[in-house]
Amino acid sequence: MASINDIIDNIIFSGLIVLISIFLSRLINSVISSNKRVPSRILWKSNLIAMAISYGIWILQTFIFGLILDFFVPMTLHVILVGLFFGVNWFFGKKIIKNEIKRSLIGLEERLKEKEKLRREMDQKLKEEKVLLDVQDLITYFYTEEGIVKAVEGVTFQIYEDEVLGLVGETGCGKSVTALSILQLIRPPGEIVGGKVLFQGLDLLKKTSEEIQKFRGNQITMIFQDPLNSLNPVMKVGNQIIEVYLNHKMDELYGEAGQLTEEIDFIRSNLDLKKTLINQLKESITEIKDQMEDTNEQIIDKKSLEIIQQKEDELSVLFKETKGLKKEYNEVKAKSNIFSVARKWAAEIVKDVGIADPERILDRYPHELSGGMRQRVMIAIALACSPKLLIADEPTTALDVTIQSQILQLMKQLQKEYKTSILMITHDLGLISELCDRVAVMYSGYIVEYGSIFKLFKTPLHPYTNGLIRAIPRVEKRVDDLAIIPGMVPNLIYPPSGCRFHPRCEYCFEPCPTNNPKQIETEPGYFVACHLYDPKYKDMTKNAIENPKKIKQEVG
Amino acid sequence: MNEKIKRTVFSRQFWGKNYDKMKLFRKKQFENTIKMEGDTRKERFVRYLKFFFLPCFRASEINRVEFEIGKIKSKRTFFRRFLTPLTILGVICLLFIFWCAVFPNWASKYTFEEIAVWVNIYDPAYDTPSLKHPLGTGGSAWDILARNIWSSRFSLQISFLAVAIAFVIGILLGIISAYAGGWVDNILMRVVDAFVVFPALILAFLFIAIWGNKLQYIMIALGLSGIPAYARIARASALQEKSKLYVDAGKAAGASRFKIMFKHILPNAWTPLIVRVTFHLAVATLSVAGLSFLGFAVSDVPTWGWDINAARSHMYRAPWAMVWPGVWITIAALGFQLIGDGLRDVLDPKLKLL
Amino acid sequence: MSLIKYIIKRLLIAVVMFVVIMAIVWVFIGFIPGSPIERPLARLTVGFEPHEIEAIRQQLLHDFGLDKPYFMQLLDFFTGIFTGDWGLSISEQHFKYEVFDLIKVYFPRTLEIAIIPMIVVNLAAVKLGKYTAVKRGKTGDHVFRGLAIVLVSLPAFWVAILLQYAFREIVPAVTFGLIDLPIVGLYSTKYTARNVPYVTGFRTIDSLLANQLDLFLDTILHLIIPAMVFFIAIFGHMLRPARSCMLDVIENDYIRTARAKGCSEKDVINKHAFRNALVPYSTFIGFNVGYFISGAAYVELIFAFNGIGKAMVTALLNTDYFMIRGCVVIFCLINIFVNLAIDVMYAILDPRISYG
Repeated sequence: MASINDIIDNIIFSGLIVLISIFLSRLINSVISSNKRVPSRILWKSNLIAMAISYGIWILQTFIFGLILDFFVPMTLHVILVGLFFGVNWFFGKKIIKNEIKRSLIGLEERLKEKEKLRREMDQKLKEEKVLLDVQDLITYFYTEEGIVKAVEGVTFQIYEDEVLGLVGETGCGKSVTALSILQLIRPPGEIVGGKVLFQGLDLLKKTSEEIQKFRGNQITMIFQDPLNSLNPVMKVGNQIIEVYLNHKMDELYGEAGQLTEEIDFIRSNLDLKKTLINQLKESITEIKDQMEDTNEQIIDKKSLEIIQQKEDELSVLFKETKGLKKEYNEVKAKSNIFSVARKWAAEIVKDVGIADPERILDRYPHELSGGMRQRVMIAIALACSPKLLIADEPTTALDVTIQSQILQLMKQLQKEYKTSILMITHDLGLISELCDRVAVMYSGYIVEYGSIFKLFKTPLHPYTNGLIRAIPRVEKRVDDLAIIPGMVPNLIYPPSGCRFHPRCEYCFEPCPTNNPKQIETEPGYFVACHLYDPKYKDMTKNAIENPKKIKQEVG
Repeated sequence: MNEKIKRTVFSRQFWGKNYDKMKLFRKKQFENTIKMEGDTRKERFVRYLKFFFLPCFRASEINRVEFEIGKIKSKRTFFRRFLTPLTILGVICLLFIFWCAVFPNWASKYTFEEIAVWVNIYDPAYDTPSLKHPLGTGGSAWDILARNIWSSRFSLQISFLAVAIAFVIGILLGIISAYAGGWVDNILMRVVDAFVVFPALILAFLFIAIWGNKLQYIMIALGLSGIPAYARIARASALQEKSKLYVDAGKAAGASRFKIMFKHILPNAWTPLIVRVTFHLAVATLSVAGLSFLGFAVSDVPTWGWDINAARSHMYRAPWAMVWPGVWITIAALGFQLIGDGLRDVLDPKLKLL
Repeated sequence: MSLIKYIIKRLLIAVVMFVVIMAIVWVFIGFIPGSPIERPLARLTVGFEPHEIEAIRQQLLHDFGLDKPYFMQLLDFFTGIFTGDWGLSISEQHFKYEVFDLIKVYFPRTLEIAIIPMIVVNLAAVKLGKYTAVKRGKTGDHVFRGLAIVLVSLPAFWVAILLQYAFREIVPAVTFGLIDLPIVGLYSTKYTARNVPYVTGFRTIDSLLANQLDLFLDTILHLIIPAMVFFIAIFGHMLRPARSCMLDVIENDYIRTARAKGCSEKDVINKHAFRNALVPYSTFIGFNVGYFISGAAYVELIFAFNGIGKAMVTALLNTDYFMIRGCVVIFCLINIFVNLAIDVMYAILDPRISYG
């Protein structure tokens, strides 16, 4: 009879081992690759069940052996406890996972149908109204130590479906901030102070951060300037694309993976059939052999030998078929994992983007690829879920000129293929002329001119646009001095009063230093924000246009 | 700028027909950046002072140029951002410790002999706090308050000198190896790695075994064991700065290697080093206390660590004898730490927007 | 595979560093004044005749290997490191014991306090670092920073003594005798007679393997408070790097891309930011390990564990030449080994490191 103290010591010790095993199982779960990983909730459930069962058995064992036989299991055999724990864990884990999958598959059909219906409604609405993104009076400020940086002050524009809108401006005029504000990617100390961003009728600025996650990457996506720093350096490129699918297209993934379950069932039933056939054949062979032994005749019955030979041939054929079926079964089973389906989709889109041999690229890290390929990968991530709107924030600035043109061609082709609208942000007017249908020119936080690209290049109305286009050097002419816009970009903390361009404007006249210009529609669909085109000041404008001022070139 | 170069670069020969334009340009540049309208030096100085001290001072005639200059100098914003509540606490702690260390004769009622050399036969040892001894008495019936004040002097001395050794040697090694590159870099970094392997305790241990139980050896040991941190930080910063253009400009202007390393690169890389110095001061104070707790080099100076050790056996009778030295150590280390944190918040541009 | 080649290269560099450092140690130990056998000679030859003293002196020199030429002694030292012959101790208590055996017994007792807190500290610091990245600038962040500063400023040995006092006097009174943890020594007095066979040197593991569960539980009870004190001593040093590494990573562009892809904040921090922050964080561990082990020596001295701290102090008092050398060697070994492990882990975690 062992003392109670010893039993309690044993029980405490086994308890410690079980706790350590729980901890180990969580640790292993967090470091294995994503395909085999188990969600945390399921892991807890199976851990608890395993703990109850294995620890219960062990306590029983301790009591029985300890009290009656006075025999305690040596320390090394506690490995059995650990093995039991993990075994039960694995078994129950698989069962619970199967249940979860079944449960999530239950409403799958309805959910997919609903999504389809919603999408069709949105498309219908879009066809009627044609406006995809409607930005009204967006205001974003940055509250820094040195003052309030008024980065975006009242920006208004619209993007229609299947068009490319360009957003041009100098560095520091607020283009990137506008784009980030649309997706609510502005971090403190920045804050979106006012305005509306209507995407297909829904106001994006009023959405909470969970709701807007469903938009980002799904219907509105963004690509950034420097692809080396914008891709996660410790994750493989393929995993980064798969992540987008896992975030937004879970149901579709399960749907496609589920389609393969029928195939799996079919193959499995085939396998079972073959197995029963094999068993039958084996039985008949053994019967005949037994018969031969029973009769104990020395005469070798030719016929029964023939029958045996035939049956053995059939058996070998069946074995081969079963092997082939088993291989097929394993392949299909591997493919029906949602990760493999996602990987297949990722390979497809990487091929679309113009990268040859997508399978190899999916396993590379970002620093192993060239600049052009990285930008293509970023475009692939952006177009993965076929978004309605793609925001491109200076995508080609960090690349060489030859790669620039390749990426441009790619974007043009993809835009036609996927029918995405693109908001192209850049400071290069040449790019705009190649890609865009309409263009908006930004200066120091607001849009100065906005309309069709032909009209803009032919007759630029705003003095700033005028200066920009005049500043493009022409190859055929020989000039002594290049035309510049005199002055410097204004300080965004202390911007000039009234029209922010007025210190540098040649045609600055009476209302300019005091009044903020509003967007005036000179032609249908063409807007200028300048007092020169305001019908109120018609008499004063003539004088201003005929006598342009000379602006002093400030130094420093 | 070198006079010879000035003579060539701004000569009429160099600029040809544009010489007048260039002269006008330089004059305008000078006027725009230095002179203000109708300004004497005294007025400028007064305005600068006002800008520095008054929180909301903004002269109405300040133009954009002066605003930009003010931003660059930015001293007012430095103090405004530095003096957060936590940092003020750190400054108070440090001032207190410095006062104890530099003016112990005024801070404490008792002289050095009374607390460290002589044995007080009039008062009981390990006595409770009383009017005569506000914090109680210690082993040889010394006044605890006075003894702590005197100990701060020696602890501070050792930690400052140790950090100075580590700072100087570490930065030298780091910057030289970063600037030279190649095999020099390799060898110097291996030497620094050799210093990483020896922790402070072991080095002190070794030095005391060799050269005896003296205070200087603790100092040298702490200094040597702190070198790798400075070397690595200096090297990383110097490598970053080396690829910037002003280094090439300095080389083109004919600066010697020493000048480039220590007059151009080092002033741009000193931010993380200064922050590290404050952190190292705190750690050095704690290490000195630990080493004296173990009994190294405690022959003639009073130290906090040894007081803790000596009072340990009287813990149940008189716990205050053991508690107060620890409180002093904490105040010293806390002061250095908080100031280091405040400095890092102000100087590190990445944490600027916090 | 190039990873294996990289590991082998680092291993070779570590071995070369080790040899160079051992040479430095040899030179420095050679500076210790006096001959190593002075004290045992004085001890053993009280009142002897001069010629007898001379004979015993020659005998001692031969025993300790000090009559060989200098170069032979150096060679013996180097080969001895790898074979386990680190010399003989000259202290009175363990006269002519192998230094290696003594360290083999003493060092694991210190490590026992140190291992689990070091692992737990990293996990806790990482978790708190992730928390700071989310709650940046709010109260939680300030509390975190204040905690890091205070924990680093407290002297570890002082806190240890205070906690000893608290757990002896205050806690049993407050909890009515429920929490009555022992604070001194590695095992209670009732187990002094029991001798556990030496397998790893860690009393916990050895008592398990010898199937003595009560001893095991008793040891664990004795280890709780020292481990707690050690945890408090280390925690502050790892909190600050965790926070700064995490914040450095959050500023980057790929976090912005991850948000633009539609990842939830939890995913952004756990999957994207954390994996990138782990890489610079691991360098801080390797850097501080020497400091941590010496901290463990302090804690073990206060709680009277008879570990490496006590051994070092005794060796210093007795000027035990070979023991001093052995202690320095073991510390350097640990440091080099941990730095090598951190290097390898760094290479595994960060695919940007080019192998070979």
